[in-house]
Amino acid sequence: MRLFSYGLVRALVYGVIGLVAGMAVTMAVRAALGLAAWAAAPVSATGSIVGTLTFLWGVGAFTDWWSWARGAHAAEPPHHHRDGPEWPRYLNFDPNHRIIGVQYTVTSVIVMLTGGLLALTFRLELAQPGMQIMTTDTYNYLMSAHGIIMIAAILMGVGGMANFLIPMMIGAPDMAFPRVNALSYWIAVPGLIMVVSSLFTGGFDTGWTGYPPLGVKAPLGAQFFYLGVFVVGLSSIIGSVNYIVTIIKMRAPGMTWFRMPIFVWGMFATALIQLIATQFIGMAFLMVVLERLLGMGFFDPAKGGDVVLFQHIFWFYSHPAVYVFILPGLGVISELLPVFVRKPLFGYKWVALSSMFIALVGFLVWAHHMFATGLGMVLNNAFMVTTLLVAVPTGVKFFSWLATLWGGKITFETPMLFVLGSWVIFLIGGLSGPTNAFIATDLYVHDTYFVVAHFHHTMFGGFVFPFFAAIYYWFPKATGRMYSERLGKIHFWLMLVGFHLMTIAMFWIGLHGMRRRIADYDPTQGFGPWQTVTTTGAYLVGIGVTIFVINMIRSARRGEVAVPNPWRSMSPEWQLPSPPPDGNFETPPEVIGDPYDYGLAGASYVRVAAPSAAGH
Amino acid sequence: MRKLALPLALTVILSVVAVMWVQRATLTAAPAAAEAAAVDSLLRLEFYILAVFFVLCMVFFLYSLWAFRRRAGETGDGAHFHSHTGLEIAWTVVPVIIVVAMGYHGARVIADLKAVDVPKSADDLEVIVTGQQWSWTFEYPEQGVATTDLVLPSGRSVYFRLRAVDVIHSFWVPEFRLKMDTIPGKENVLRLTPNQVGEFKVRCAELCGTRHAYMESPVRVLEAADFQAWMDEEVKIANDPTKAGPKVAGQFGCIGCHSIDGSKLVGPTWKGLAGHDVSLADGSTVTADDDYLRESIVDPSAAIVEGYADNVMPRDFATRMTEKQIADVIAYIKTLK
Ligand code: HEC
Ligand SMILES: [Cu+2]
Ligand SMILES: [Cu+2]
Repeated sequence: MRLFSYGLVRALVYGVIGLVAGMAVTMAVRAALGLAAWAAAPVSATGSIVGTLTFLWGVGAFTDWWSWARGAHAAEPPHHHRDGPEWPRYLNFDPNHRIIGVQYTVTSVIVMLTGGLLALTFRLELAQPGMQIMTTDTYNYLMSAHGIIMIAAILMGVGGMANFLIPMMIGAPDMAFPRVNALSYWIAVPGLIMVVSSLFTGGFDTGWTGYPPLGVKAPLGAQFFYLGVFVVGLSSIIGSVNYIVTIIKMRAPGMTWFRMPIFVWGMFATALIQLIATQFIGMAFLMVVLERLLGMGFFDPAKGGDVVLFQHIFWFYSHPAVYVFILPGLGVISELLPVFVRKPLFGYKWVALSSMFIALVGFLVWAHHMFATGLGMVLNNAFMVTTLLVAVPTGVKFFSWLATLWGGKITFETPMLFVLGSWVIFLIGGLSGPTNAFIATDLYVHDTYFVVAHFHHTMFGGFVFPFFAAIYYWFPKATGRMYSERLGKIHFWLMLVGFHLMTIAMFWIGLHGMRRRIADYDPTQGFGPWQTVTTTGAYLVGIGVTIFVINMIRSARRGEVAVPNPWRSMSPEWQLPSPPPDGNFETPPEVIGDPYDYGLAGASYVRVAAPSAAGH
Repeated sequence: MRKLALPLALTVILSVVAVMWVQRATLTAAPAAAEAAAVDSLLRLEFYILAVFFVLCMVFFLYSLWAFRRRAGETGDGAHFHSHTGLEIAWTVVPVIIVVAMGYHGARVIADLKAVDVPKSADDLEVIVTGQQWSWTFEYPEQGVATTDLVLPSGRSVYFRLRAVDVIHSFWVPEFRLKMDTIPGKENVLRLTPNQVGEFKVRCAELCGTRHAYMESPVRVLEAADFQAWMDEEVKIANDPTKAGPKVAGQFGCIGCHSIDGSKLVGPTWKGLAGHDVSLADGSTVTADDDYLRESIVDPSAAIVEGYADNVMPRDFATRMTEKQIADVIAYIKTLK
């Protein structure tokens, strides 16, 4: 029964019980109504919803709230003792932001490995024209699942960085609502399980975009995909409330808005987008599920519905979501550059406000995904111009980063290498954007590999590389140990080279007419060799990531004990012991200077009360 | 400031190289429609701008990494400066100007093409394109002809009306450049002017399920005179009951399963079918009149012929064939006494 003391185990057991119970009740109701008791879609739908709730019950998400509701006292704050090993905390409903941050990050990596394996599988098939190792349906399922699983992984990664960093960076003891925070993590877990289980329940062949009518016709797996994304979306919304309140209300004394670490600005913009937009994808997907289950014809022209309507609702989230993925990553770039360049971030205010501007404009560009649906000239042109405008704040960031490099004393440790890699990759991602924004050229490159290469550049440059940079950079903070610099560098070079092999070939064949999302391609178009290059690149990336995982596991267990502030950072989190105690600072730190005054003799950012201060 | 000289010089030189490369490179599939010229030149213009920005950023980036690297034994921090409002304003305003100018230009290009969101003009050739899982059909309504290959005249603008039966597809001939979705419940239009004689393919560009990858149909662009000859022939066939039927039967693969000489293939022979009694799998007997034949084509599972399997004959003829094609094939079956 010791096993049962781990929240995760309880949650899984309760979840399965809930799933079965939900299914049984539905079958009973159906039988009572005189319908056939078994019908896979409705029975599994209610089953998975009930299972999600019992999962949360099992992990203990509602325990404290339930005590309060009964008028009793909840342990406050729970799990504050620090005796015994720490790792069981990671398997439990633990309200500490640092623990939640690590839970999110590790989950993100696991989910990302899953999505990556899917990609490596279908990349083999794509290496040559003709079908060699799978059916076209299998390809469609793998490709669709790869997309949504990677997006889920990114959302988890964003949650990881936000939770781990925000409270420490702003000098707060924890998030504003610690239990809500833990809920935001734990509710994502059943959502992720549902998304992945779509592969085993028939798959779905719609791509991650799930457009109806194809999504309505797709196999049962589609239902798990839609519901899973809905649940993961709840996690985003709940999480973002917390980030916003924490950033607004809990900054250390003296930390004005323009003295916040720049990453916090990125997260603030991100959280606003998540809070406002996520419900739209939830709603769009829920409507498709209702159309599938109950025949409600929201998107069925035969019933007075509108096919294109779905795309508007969907992209109203899914474009801004792109900025949810990249703003934290760009925040990491801005955060780490000054440390490794030993110079202030150039144009702090401009960089900070550019994130807010990107978030705002991000809401006005969604239909650039829909030029080929025949929006009409007025909308086409309006969305073209708003989309091009995104280049302006992004340009401000790029030039400010260049100016930050200028005159520095640059060192090239692994986190910095990943930051520099992101810079290059995201630059190419950004520069390939306008081709998709101009209507005339978009109607050519839309739905080709050009777009695939473009958004992989934005995702790798805006999230994946910065995320790796962040993991390496804050690894000593989270574990108290140092990672292997040598393996880190091998990881970096493999990924950098592999990634570019992959995308440069994609850009080129995309421009020459290689359609995206196809299991097989016309050999007469001559894309075979290029596809082989792409596959080779993808495998190099895969090897790099494997080395990363080995490095992380080995270093977390046996790595050298890290010095207190290995990067000589001025940021508050590095003035704490590693890993920091619950509640972080014994007394709130006081902000007495600008965040990145490297190179200014005697400058200091925060004053931390003596006992917990770690040498600088 | 002296440090700026080298990267600036490199930027200029490499920009010229990059622009020259863009100018010479074959960036896109070989063009085959008049619209391609404008699309390609817009694309090239975009790439010129991108190339210059790329070179500018990369040169300064790599130069900085080299020039401002921490040298062995060096201690201390970098130069301490925070911001430069003039610079920030400059690199905000310059992109805004480029965006506005390019936005205006981009809007002009697509408007001048008169390819999307335009009414049909009198001398356009009208073609109704219908996408369904996983094939295309093309109808020439003015001529009363329907085909599964897209045959077009060179040098004449073609007005495509794009429709879909089941899910979203996208009508795209890469050599013609512009694509447009075919959407159930919505008609999109696209006007293109093929100008290269040759053979191409319509390639479905929107994920549409199992055989999306193979949803390709041949496109033939002919000289105007050849097109006219082809069309005259098609019209003649369409209006000749003895020819229209066999053509439809060949086009939709009926004769792969149904013989016309009495031999038994996957499906029952058509010889002597019309007007005779057919015994069905459920034991009943029907007379093969027009209604029965029609039903057997549009809804093959409604009545299964004895000795044959259900679910063998494709069930999507109702959406893939026009009314006239169904009537033609029925008329043809009736001639096979
Ligand atoms: C893949 C093979 C296949 C193709 C292609 C096919 N059929 Fe059939 N067809 C069958 C089979 C098998 C049956 C008998 C089972 C049934 O009644 O559904 C049948 C039955 C029929 C019948 C009823 C015959 C009778 O003896 O009563 C008609 C009429 C018919 N098909 C017309 C067509 C037409 C017209 C086409 C082309 C547009 C076509 N079929 C294409 C396999 C095919
Ligand atoms: Cu977008
Ligand atoms: Cu398709």
